[in-house]
Amino acid sequence: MQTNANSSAISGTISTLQSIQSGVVGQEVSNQNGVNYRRRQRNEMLFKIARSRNYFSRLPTEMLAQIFLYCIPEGNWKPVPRRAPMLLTAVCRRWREVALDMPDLWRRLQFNVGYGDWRKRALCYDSCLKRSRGRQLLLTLECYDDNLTELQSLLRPYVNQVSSLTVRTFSRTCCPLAAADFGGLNELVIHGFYTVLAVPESIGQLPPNMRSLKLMNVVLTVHMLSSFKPLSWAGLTNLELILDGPNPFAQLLRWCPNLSSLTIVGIFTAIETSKAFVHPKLQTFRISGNLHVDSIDKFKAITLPNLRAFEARNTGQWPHEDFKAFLTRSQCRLESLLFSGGVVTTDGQLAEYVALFPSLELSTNPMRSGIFI
Amino acid sequence: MVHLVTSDNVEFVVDKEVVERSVLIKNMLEDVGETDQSIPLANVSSAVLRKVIEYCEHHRGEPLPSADADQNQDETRKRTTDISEWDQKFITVDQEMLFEIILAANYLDIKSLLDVGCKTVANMIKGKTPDEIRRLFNIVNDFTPEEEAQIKKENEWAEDR
Repeated sequence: MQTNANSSAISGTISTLQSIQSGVVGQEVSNQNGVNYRRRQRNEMLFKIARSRNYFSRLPTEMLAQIFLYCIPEGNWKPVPRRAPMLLTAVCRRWREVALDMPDLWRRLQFNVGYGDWRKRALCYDSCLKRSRGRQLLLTLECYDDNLTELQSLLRPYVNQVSSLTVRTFSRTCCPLAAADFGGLNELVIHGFYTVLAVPESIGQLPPNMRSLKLMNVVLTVHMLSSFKPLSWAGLTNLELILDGPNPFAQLLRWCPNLSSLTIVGIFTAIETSKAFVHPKLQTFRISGNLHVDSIDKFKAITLPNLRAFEARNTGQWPHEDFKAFLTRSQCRLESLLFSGGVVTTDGQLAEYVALFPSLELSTNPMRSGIFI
Repeated sequence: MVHLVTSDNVEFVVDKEVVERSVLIKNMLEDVGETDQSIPLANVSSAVLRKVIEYCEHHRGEPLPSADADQNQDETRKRTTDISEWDQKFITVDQEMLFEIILAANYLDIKSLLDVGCKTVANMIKGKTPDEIRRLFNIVNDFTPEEEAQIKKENEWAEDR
């Protein structure tokens, strides 16, 4: 019914348009204003026809806004004209108005820093940041050596808006930003593609609301950790990192009493004598790395009463007796135990774990051998 | 069973469990209690309601999304545009019907159907140029020359890929 009504409306408009057009052709119009007037009329008619078949015009703004939110790419948030949100501002006036009035469209952004024409790109980034109008920002920065100072100035007015920051730094010498500068930061991920000496400086002090810290391809030593301000790490609930040198596992747990998930890739070459320590909140613990015979002391020093899930990778011969003693001492209710690639256990040992925890979800997966981080 | 009457005066008799996927109708039924009276749906034609009922029949018994699902989804950052195979087939309709389904889902408050519609339109937009989008959806480029110039400038500032 409605389709028929629309069709007849369209044919009516088309015939009116044709009559105007033939009038223009058939009539000798000397007056230029008259020609312009008819041209305008014709254009208006054409617009009308197009509009009648533009089903978007029937949608209320809030539904158009919902469609726009689904247009945001899932992974790549670089502001480019061919992708939302920028794309949505270039279609028609209504789309532009709606898109510019939706701060949520502009809160996920990826900036590339240190190559190409920074001056131009900074204008684009700044306009995107302004359009986020105070919303929490999820920012990804891809940084080379140049323009880092300019980046800092660009971000200065927005530092308290950033709740999630992912930094991919290709700089050999410096990390562009200090975590502590971002007052509202909740989550920080740093991918270091070289031995980035300055990364530890950027995380030595963490902002008070930060809950998750993930360091990829960044190796921390105990020497580096000694320069950190441990009090600022107390709020972390998720920590993923690579450690080198004497085993600072217990030290990290002391720094982070609220940790519920810990992933450590370790290059454990020596052993730090640790006093016995109970961490009541850790639920998920994943470890990857070569456990030298001495380093298994970590299981002698630590008690984790709330441990629910444990995964080990690439540890070589598994310190079964110590681990079993650790589980018994912890009196935890382990639900999941996974031995991935590079962990040597026997069937008998596995059976002992099941005997300890009858409802345990126990699995071995030798194919899963990559490091976690 | 529930009696529904569409804008073109066609009556549908639908299983209560099916029709209660519409929060609007569910609330109505809760307010008025058991009734043999028809519920008029002034904003939905029979062709569209037929599709809506087909969708609700297929998803009968599935848990209804919670009111704060959107917010949670936003917090997890991913607004995925994945659509199940059945839903994809179901929503493969002409543009007019697609938009009518979206409007009906909004009016009847069927969030999952509204999402399927919005995701479908979003997927049609993605990867196209403004010109291609205008052509696909019959949208008139009504920018003034000044606005066009501003957009051009903004695009020049941005990276091109």
